Amino acid sequence: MTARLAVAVALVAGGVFLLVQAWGIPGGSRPVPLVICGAWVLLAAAHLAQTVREHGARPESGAGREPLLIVAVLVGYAILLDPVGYLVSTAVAFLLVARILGSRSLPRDAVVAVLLSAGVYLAFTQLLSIRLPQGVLPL
Amino acid sequence: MNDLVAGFGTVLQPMNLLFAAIGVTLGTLVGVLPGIGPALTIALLLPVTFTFSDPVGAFIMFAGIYYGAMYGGSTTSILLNTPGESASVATAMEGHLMARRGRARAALATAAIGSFVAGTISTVLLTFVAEPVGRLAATFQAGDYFALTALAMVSVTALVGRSTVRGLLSLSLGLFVGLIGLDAMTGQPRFTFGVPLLSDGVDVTIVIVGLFAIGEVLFCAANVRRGDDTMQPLERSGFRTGWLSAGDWRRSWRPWLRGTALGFPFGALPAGGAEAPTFLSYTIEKRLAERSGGGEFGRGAIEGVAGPEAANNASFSGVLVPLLTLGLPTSATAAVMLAAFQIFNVQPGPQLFQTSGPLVWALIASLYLGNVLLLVLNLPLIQLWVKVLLVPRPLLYAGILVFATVAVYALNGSLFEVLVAYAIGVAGYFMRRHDFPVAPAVLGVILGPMMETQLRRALVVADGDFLTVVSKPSTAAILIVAGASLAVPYLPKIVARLRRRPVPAGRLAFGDED
Repeated sequence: MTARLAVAVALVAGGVFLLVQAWGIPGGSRPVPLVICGAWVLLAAAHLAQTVREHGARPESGAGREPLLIVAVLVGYAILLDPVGYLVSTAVAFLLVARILGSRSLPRDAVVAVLLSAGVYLAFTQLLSIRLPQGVLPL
Repeated sequence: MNDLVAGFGTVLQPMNLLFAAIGVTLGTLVGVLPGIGPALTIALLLPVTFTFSDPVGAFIMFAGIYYGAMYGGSTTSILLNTPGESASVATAMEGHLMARRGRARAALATAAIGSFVAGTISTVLLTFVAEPVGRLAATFQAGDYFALTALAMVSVTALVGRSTVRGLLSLSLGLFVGLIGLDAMTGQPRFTFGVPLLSDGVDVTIVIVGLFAIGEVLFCAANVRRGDDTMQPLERSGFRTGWLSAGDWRRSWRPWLRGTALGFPFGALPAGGAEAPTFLSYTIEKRLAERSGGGEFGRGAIEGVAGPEAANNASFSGVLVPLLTLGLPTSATAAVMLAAFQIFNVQPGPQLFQTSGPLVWALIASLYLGNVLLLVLNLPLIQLWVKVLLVPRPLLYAGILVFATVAVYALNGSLFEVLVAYAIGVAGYFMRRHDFPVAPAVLGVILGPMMETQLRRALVVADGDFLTVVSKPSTAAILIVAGASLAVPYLPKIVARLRRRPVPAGRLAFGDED
């Protein structure tokens, strides 16, 4: 099964799931979600039919695993932001993403990572008075 | 008129001038980054205005940020051919060709001066149109608002992207996201899946940062191994020479005016979006050039930059008409502006001119100012902005992710919202990969809840009878236009069939991307 077909099937399945959820909403809050989710299911079905008909007609481009790796880094970043602190987690996440995207000059990236996270941290905490997690660094 | 003069009085205070200058500079700096359009620029820079206690300064800065972002975006489109949003796609086509022929400076100048001309004229139009439309809007009832939101969503969906089905699916995805949270009328939780953090719903800023920033970076990451786009260099020239020759001026001024004439009305209609007028302008300029013998289209025609860029800028002032008078955002940029208004507890709508008159006139005055500042600051500084484009791609994308994360985190200090933004980014990645337009999803998120509230309000008045609501003449008329707009992309086919001519392949599309 191609990625395009998988997306089309997932859209139908997701729509049906949400339609069932919408059915369970009580009272006056129900009609609009029902209409929207119903429309979703119908459109997704039409889209699936279209995809099956066009199957193989449009060339499909493969994707590398870079997006998946970046999402993994991002999720780790969000989880560690609080315990580890803004400066360290941001610098590490920046380095990892740059590396995944093909940057091969570690010293340069490290300098940029530290300067960028420090710059953002100072700008937000000092200029904008928005609190960012301090974490392990004694600041 | 006196109101506008008072508005200028506010804006021209030294502190506010400084805010406008900072806004233009920040906007250009962020907008010039490849793949970042004005909507995302404003969303990323929202935290900057959190420190303002007084909305006037914040809005002056926003106007600057907007114009800066717009100008930065056209710079990137011309030099790199990476338009940040679909409204710059038309500019990128001929503009990039001009840059490749060594005419980058002329392309940038006609875009900047054209934006200035269009921005100034359309702001004048806005000044005169806004209040009368506001008075008209005051007569609208809930049913009409319901129909207007439907029109805005459906028409934009019909006009962007290559497939109506995928556009509508994208719209229903956005409408669904708009449903998440407590029902505004009954307090009933919907689609929160037992997660209390979802009960406030998903902020439109999070959706925009997720779709436009994170989705875009993931999409670029997927293609990172496949060759690199190279920047077209600016040709060497003296400080002030080499911008526009007399011939360029002669070829540019008419497209500027025509672009403005298309952009403003299209933007002002609640059928909104800047895509349709920019592509129409491109098509018209191309046809006119062909008629007058040849023309340079396909090889970098200055008309093809001047017209669409003017249309793009004029349509923004146009979009402010429904935004300010009806509270109805019809583009992603307008949606973020509305979010900014709401941060300061300013509610756009028919009453805005009465309740916040000085603020609105200051905003309009700052549009004039932003335009002037842009020309004065940016045209001479172009060498500096071009340097931003030299940042290596891996660092640039990693940096966009850092800024996107901190912008979302700064909204409420919630890591849960950061994760939501990432999840929306993943959805945006799949939408890009499989040709789903992004703009309808954004409009669905922002307009969906408005549409539902107005519909239910109208139903209460009509004793729950849906037919009574939609059979009111004005409501019915707007809804019919909305339905008809879905047929617009197929018009060439329909016309051809009626005339018994060969049916053209494909459908009309304004902008293939978000």
